[in-house]
Amino acid sequence: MAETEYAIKVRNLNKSYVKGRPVLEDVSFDIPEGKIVGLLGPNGCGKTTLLKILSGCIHDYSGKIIINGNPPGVVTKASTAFLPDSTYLADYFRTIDAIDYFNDFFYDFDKNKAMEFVQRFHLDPKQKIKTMSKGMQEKVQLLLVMSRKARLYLLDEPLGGVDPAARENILNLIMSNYAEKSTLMLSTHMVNDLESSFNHILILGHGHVLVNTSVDNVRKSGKSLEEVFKEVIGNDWEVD
Amino acid sequence: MTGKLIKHDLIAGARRMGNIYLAAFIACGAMLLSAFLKSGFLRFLCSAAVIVIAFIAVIVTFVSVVFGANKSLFGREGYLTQTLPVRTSSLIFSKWLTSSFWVLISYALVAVAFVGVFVYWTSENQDGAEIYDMIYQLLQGFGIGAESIYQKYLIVSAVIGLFNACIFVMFILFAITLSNIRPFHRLGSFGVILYLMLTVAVIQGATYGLESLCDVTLLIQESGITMLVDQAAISNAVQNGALTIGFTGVYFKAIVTVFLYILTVQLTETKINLK
Repeated sequence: MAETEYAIKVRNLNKSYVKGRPVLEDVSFDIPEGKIVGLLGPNGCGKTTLLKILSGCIHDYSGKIIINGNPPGVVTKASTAFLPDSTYLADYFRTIDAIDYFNDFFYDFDKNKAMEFVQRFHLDPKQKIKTMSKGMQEKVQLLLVMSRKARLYLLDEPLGGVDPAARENILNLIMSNYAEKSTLMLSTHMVNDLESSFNHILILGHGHVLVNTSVDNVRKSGKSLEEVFKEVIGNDWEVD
Repeated sequence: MTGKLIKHDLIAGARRMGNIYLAAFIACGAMLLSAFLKSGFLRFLCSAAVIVIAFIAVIVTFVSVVFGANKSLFGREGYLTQTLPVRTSSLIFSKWLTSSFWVLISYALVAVAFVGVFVYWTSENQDGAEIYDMIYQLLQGFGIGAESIYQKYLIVSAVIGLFNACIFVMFILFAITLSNIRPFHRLGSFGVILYLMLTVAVIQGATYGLESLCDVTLLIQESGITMLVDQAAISNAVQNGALTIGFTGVYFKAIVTVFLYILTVQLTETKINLK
């Protein structure tokens, strides 16, 4: 497979925040284009760090990363939509300001689509972000990301703080709005809820890639994703 | 893209500092209105408020520059700014330019406040021109030259002052960046102040050292402004009423600022971990 046919190509990636305690250790994997990837693993296994590195928020690492044929930089940032697990919009922003900001910088941003989402979520475009509840802030951030026609979507725990009723709506919104032929990598602990959505899984444990395979391969083994998850994570803890 | 960054950084600055400039505007309005009142105490109170608010604006501006740059580049807002499809050099340049703009605005506010209050108090009995003449005669008493030399001197000093303010902003950005990378991040917010003080101390020390080696001087005469290194010629001109301004430091700081800008960009591109 040619390098450009991989959405993500990672070789010998190492990252540690504290000397002697690696978060990611010699991580190598490839993700083909057009996949919906479940990034799974226990707390502290390096999922968020990996997504931050891929999105260009962490620069202090060693190893080689190729995203859609390019190393992380201006080109990859133009075609990568990242949803971090925390609020990142400025307090003084109103929803409409955030939409205009994205519209100014991202050529793949669809302002009309964003305004449709605003109505669908019953958000007031003139309400300041700082006066919104956490759930509303997350909706604003999600609508900004999903209004882009990016080649790679990186979503860090998008269903983390959401109640079960809203979870399904948000999941539908993600699955029905990400650009066709794009790659979507989504980190989560909710393996059961998302099993039917993924067609590829990447399981991290203790800074290593434990599983990198298609969901079809998992199904062929006759196991559910949760069973595979428990099996490999269990082994990972045993190693330690 | 750099233009868009500058636009949004200016808006962000206006949102952060808008209130203090609004307060200054209201105080100026109150001062002008108080001219119609007989109460000298109210007039004094309004004038004092203008001066105090102008100084507070300078402090608020510097604090906003530090916290604004830290938050938007390396804090939680960094998840947005660091994922924009723009070069890091553009990000830093935009922060430097817009921060310098707000610092210059705050300096201008102080200058306007002083001049405004001076004119306000002297216009009523029309003794402003007399005070100006008195100061000029006092300076001439020291044997210093023509009025045009003072005007040029003031203009050049103001330009160098503004230039130094822009340089200081780059020192701040460098200190903020340093306080966000390992192992310097351990000192937290205190680190910004410490690294800023260290940067200023090292560069100021180097400037003094350079000045003793090669003293480039701006000579301000009636005939114009010239740059000289010949100390005998400078002494001769000073005896004939010329004024001088040291220029070695300006050259050196300009070079250091370019170097710090490149270093800040490099550190941001290679060493930053958003928390």
